[in-house]
Amino acid sequence: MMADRNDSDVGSRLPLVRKLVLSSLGVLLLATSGVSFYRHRHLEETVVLSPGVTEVKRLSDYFDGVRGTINDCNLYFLEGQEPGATMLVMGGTHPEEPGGRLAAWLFAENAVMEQGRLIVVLSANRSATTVTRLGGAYPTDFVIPTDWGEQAFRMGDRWSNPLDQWPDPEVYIHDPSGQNLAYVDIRNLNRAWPGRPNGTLTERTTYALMELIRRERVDIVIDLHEAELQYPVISTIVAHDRGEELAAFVSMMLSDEEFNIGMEYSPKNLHGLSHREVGDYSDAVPLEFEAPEPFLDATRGRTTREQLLTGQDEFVMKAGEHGLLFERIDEHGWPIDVRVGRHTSAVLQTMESWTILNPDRPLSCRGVPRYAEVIEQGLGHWLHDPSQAPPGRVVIE
Amino acid sequence: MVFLQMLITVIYYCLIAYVAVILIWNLVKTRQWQHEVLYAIVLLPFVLRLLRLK
Amino acid sequence: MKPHCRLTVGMVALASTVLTGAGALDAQEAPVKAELPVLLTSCGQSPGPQRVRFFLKRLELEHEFFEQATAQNLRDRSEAGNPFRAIIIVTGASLKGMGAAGVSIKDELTRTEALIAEAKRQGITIIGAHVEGMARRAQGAAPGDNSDELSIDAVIPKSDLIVVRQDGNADRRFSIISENLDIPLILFDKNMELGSVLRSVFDK
Repeated sequence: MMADRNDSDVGSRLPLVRKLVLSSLGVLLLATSGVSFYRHRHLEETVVLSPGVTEVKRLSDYFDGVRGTINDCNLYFLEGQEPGATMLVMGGTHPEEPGGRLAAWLFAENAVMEQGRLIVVLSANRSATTVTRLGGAYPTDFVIPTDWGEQAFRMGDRWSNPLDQWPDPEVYIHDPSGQNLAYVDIRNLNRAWPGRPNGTLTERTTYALMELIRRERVDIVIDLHEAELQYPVISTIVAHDRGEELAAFVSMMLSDEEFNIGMEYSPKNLHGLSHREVGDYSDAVPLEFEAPEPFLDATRGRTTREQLLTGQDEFVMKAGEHGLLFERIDEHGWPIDVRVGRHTSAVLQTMESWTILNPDRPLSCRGVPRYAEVIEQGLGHWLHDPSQAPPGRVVIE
Repeated sequence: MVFLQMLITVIYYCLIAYVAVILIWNLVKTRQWQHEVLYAIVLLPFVLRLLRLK
Repeated sequence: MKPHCRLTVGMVALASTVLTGAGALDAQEAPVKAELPVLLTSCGQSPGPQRVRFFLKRLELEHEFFEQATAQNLRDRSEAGNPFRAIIIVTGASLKGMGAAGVSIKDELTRTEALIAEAKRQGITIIGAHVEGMARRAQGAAPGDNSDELSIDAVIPKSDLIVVRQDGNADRRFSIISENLDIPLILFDKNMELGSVLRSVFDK
């Protein structure tokens, strides 16, 4: 009888023990994944301000509707020693295209304006820097080797984080054009221009950026992007009607002297994009620069940090062998230094070409490396050690 | 539109909380180990969403 | 001086050279001379005409740019007593450009055929150009998209002069047309040399 009672006690305790073990395993999984997600969303990226940065403002200084939100990003102002035009360089419209952000970073950390004024945005859609493509198994971050160690950056997505803007509609109806777009693009910053003050977070963000452009009388807006090699709009400058002459000049100069880059017209009937709406709703000339990023190609192999930074992928190469790509690729891939160098040169060339076309409103900048220099020394050479920065010259992005 | 979004979001989080509680309740009550494993795994995304981590 | 500064100075010098005078092609070298005013247009709605237009403006060559120039445009100017003396048709197609303009390559070919017929009727010098290299050849297009080549076929064999950026002629397509039909061909290497080509053709 005693033995039976003991067996019964063991039998009744077993499910409890099992539940506790399984729950503990669940909590462990929850903790590990939760910590990873938390770290991704809260990874602090440092910006060591260039001596040329004269002021750091917030986007909410131009529109209160983004104050206190995750998209209240930093605005880096670089006032020139002499007057001239004003250029806005935007990185982070699509944070899954890190070449654009990193190129803008090099300006924020190194540029000194001699003539004119430069405004730099590193995280145009900061919310989208805190999430990666759902189900895509993207790395949550990546590191760039520097002269003083490594600098970590958040890997992002094309769309605002659903934690910050949700739900999506069945169809996204762009305002004010009324054009129907894919539902998910309601969280795509480059489908939400010119924005509206009472709209979604993404629309309020573009509205705030438009306010910045209008109030600071920005002359040129450059939106830095990367594109998959299977997408026809690649290695090119997309120009608004008013920027066609400038873009043609820039693309010819760059193609002659540094690397091939084409030019495309901004379609008048495709709405929500910066190269269309910024030009239509302000006096600024908007240009969009596209560099190649094999990481974005649907036919890529393993989605790793290495692939993101080297741009090497045998499967994308195979697609190229079958004539399915709009840009060449070989075993050297498209390293991040090449992609960033294309953007820094393109921005600098735009300043020079603009100045030739508009000598009364010049733009000139020093301190930022061009294409060949970025490739030769690596972009990390121009990222500075925050521990060595003068007091008050480090900003968290 | 934005008000509706906020409203739906609040309702959504309430639903998430409700489903999470149900899952925990079922995890406690079930006597089949396969179901316990299932509830423990299914519960994860609900808690992650409630904590606004993912 | 840092390397990028040297490059900057070099680029400004290059631009100044093209925009002010000296260039790769001497005025005497142009095999065909054309007169002004010139009408600039596209066959395929690529952004190539913007490159040509850039130099026409800088060189102050009297011109009009109609993305979709028609035979009627030529007739109107002729009737107004100020006819176009030359026409530059830039070949190479852009699906994005045609989409934005709401036209198909078929529309473009039809328009261009009528335009060229009217130009020939009026004795206007037709200059067929291809200025964007291999990116604006079928090799740079989507699989199955041969609109670049169709635009070339519609214009180049009917031209009085062919102007092509050298790398777009890597397969000698333009050279072969030139040789077979005895149409003068000007090849240039660098984009910025297009300015001196235009200057020599228009004797500016």
